[in-house]
Amino acid sequence: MQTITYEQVKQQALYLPREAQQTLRSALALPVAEQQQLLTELPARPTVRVSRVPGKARDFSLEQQWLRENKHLYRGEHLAVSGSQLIAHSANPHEVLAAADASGMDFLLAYSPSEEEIPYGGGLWL
Amino acid sequence: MTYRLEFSTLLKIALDENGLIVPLTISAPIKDRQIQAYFDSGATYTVLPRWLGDDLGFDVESGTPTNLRTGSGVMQTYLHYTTFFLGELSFGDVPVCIAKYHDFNRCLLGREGWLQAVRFGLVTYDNQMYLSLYDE
Repeated sequence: MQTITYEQVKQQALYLPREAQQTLRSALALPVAEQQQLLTELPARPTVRVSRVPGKARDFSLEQQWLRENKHLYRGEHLAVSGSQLIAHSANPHEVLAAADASGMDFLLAYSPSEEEIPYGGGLWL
Repeated sequence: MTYRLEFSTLLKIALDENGLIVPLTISAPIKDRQIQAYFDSGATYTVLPRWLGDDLGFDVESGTPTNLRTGSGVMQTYLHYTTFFLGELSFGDVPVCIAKYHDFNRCLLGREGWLQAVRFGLVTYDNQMYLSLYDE
């Protein structure tokens, strides 16, 4: 069932930020063949499905607490933590996964950036 | 004037010198993994290290080649679609980029596929992130 009308899309387009409108203008000005290619590609991108799954949530408070207090001691390493217990740590993530899986415990994976890694500047753009 | 928002999900987050860290469950072809991901509202896509993509069972290089601009140049990745969970909230068919090379070790939680579908609150002082589905 179609729930979004062309008029709604048009209204959204009219209120897009200026940069996004410019991108839209550029797309509409593409040669017909390229527009057609874009149309062909669009359905290949699935629509994101959003829902709530009661009972799925796992409380990671203990793991987060342990990592807050101890992660800096394992610079440059991957860590697997379950509750307040460190199950495995290594610079090699495959070793950590193998050991943590073998433990049979439910765990949270983390990475402690090395001191040589400069602070992350953020902003990873398409 | 006072504004009030209500949320249905509370996540305990962490903060280090690299940013805000969120517990994220990735549900992939052969297994689930629970990971710490840096929340990056400046990033379009969620990005996973190559080793994690392989471990999760993705045929990594069958994804759509996707170059990401970063502050230090272009990063080559492959785009896939998967499901992830933030607490009880499930986001299916979310685009996720997997790094092409093995030297990228961090998990980044970008915007695409989930941020526009939620109401979002952040209290860094208390290490808490509040979420609700937008239409809840």
